[in-house]
Amino acid sequence: MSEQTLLPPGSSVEPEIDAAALSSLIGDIYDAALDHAFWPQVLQNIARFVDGAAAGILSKDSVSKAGNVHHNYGVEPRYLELYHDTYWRFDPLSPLLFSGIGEVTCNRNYVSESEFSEGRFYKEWIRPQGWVDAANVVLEKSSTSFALLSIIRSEAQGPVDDRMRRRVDLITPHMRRSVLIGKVIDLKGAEAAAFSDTLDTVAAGVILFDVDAHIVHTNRAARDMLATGDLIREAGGGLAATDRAADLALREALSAAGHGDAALGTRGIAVPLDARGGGRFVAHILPMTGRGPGDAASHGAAAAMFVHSATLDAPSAPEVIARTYGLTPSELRVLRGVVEAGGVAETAEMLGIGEATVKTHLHRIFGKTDTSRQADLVKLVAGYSSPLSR
Amino acid sequence: MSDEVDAAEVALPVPHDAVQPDDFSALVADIYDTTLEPARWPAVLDACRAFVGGHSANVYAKGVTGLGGQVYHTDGLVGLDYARLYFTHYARIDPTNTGHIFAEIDQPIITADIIDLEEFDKSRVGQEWVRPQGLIDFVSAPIERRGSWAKMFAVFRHERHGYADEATRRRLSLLVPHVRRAVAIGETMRQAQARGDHFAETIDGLASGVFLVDDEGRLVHSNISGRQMLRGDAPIALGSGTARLERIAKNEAVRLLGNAGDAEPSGRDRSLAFETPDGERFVTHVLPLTSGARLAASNGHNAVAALFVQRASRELRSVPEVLARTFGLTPSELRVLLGIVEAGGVAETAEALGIGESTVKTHLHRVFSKTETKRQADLVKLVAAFASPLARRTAP
Repeated sequence: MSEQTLLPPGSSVEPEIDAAALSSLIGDIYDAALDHAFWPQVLQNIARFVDGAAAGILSKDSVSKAGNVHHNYGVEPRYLELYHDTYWRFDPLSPLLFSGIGEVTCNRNYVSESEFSEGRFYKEWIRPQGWVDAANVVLEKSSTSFALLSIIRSEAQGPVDDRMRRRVDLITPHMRRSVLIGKVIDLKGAEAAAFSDTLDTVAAGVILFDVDAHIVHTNRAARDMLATGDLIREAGGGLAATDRAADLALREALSAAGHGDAALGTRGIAVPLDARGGGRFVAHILPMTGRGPGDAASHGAAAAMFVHSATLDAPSAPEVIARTYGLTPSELRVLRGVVEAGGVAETAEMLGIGEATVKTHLHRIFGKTDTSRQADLVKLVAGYSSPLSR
Repeated sequence: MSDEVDAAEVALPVPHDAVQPDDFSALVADIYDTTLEPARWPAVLDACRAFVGGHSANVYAKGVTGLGGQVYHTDGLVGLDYARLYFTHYARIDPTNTGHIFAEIDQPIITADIIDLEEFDKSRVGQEWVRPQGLIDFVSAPIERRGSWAKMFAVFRHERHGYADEATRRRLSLLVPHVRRAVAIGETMRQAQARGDHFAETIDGLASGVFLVDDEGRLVHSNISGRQMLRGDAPIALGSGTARLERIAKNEAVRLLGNAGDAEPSGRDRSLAFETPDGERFVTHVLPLTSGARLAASNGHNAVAALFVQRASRELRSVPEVLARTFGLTPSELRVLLGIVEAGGVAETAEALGIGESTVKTHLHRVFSKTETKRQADLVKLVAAFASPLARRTAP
């Protein structure tokens, strides 16, 4: 697109570009990949290096043309607001969608001088800030949007020139990489956060251990269990069970799992645990194989433990069972009574109704659910129990 | 890493003082590419070696005691054998070791900064490790230090390069901060990846099919059981029920997002049941994922809800050995207990196990007494309560 030609690389060694200064600026650019809060400072350093008055990283939607300034330096908050509210409609940047990634362009590459200077964007947004031109470079494109680096020139600095283009050219590959690296890190972080959230929803306590049986992660239920300390507690970075006998079994299992004991296989093992003050629990230990070439040892988990209460919870959503089998509210109450309280007499007493009534309901329930024994009803309800915490 | 020492370095690009900005910028870009493609390290270090002027460039760690040394990245030009030999025998007696480790981060140190060159040459390290390789000098800088241990970036000089000078030092100092950052960014990425992988593997352990869906109800992740459901692996194949599940995912994503902006977070979990056309019943438990929803606003492709799908089956994934251990059941008693739960009453159990009904009854009474229960339904409850949340898979 550009009519301007850049100096062919290597054609001249510019004495004015100090290698140490360039190196330091490039380093700043990558620091912002790890901590996005550095961007305003980095954009200021970039503006200084290329001789610009303001700079921003923004994205434009390919279809709606909506613009969003992600990071900026040198734009007054008032004008930033004006841009987000109104002036994204009038900026001359949409044609950039068709320019090559990494190609440095300026306003007169997409609009004529007169068209630009007559337009609202120049008159109402650019000129009032004392600016004249901008060097723009597309950093990345997706199917729906493109991201660009825009560096604005003041009246004193004058229109974009070859010197500025050459300098923007030098930092563009690093801007592209830094933005990409930042995205990859964010994406991996978001993925891990979604998985961690998912584990938090599980009713069982989930604890991840490293090879030395130190705790590296706990889900919400496990944190609750550790806080009460009736069942398990943290001891020296590792896990201890209040139940003495179980404690030993647990340590042995964790150690075996952590060291990839083949005997454990992928099936894992289970250890019964008694809580102080009553309550039965079961701990299932799952050895982790890890994925990819990275060794599990240096990056965290070697085994996962699931601790769940060995009591059959009432169904988390009894209405789902009722809807599935067309049970009336009375029938549902009797079903829950049979599962929770026991036989006909116990259910009658719990619900405060006659045994004959319980029996009548029970027979209809058998008919509707295609079962014949109370034991079958317990199984049916168990099938609908939720693995999730409430 | 190659054992072969590629010494076929014919025309040595003698580094001159002037650094060409374009070449330098391109080399630095290559250094940061290793964060996305770690396999590029050998080629990138070879380019660093050429830029600084030297025989071999490496990223490694060592401690003052000389123990626990490790090469992270190498151009392979100092062979694996020599590298190993250094860490097993020579690091601890290297007179320059401590000087290297305690140099300032990012600040290049050459041998002459630490020790008289003649003295170093006469040391065992000089005589037995440096000389036999034709090496003569070494320029290094710490890029990370913890206590008496440091991660270093270093370039070896061969006799044909001569001793390191100010130009060598300056050129290395231009690269060190970038190598330091690239190593740190690479480590951050690996850790984030490993964290996600470990969580995913934990979720893979669950017997329920777990599906994560984005703001438009599109599937962004499924665990092993979930993939088996979709793929049609018996006995949890969704088969033509897949369409039902997809519809649920869409509806729930819309429902949860619709609630996301409410002051009162009503985007609560809920359960839904559906039947496949083949008559198999499935239960879906839907959970909103809070941080996923938060990130979706900025990134667009994140999970906003988790769907836990299970077959509403009456087969219980019990863990018999745990039951036996907890209640002190004999193998015969355990068999009868499981028979009652799976086959049905006394007669069915007797038939299934090929034993007499009176024997079943005898065992059953002992089981009732040991488990403090009195009815067969109680036994089903007991077994269901001990059911494992984990999938049982045979080793691959």
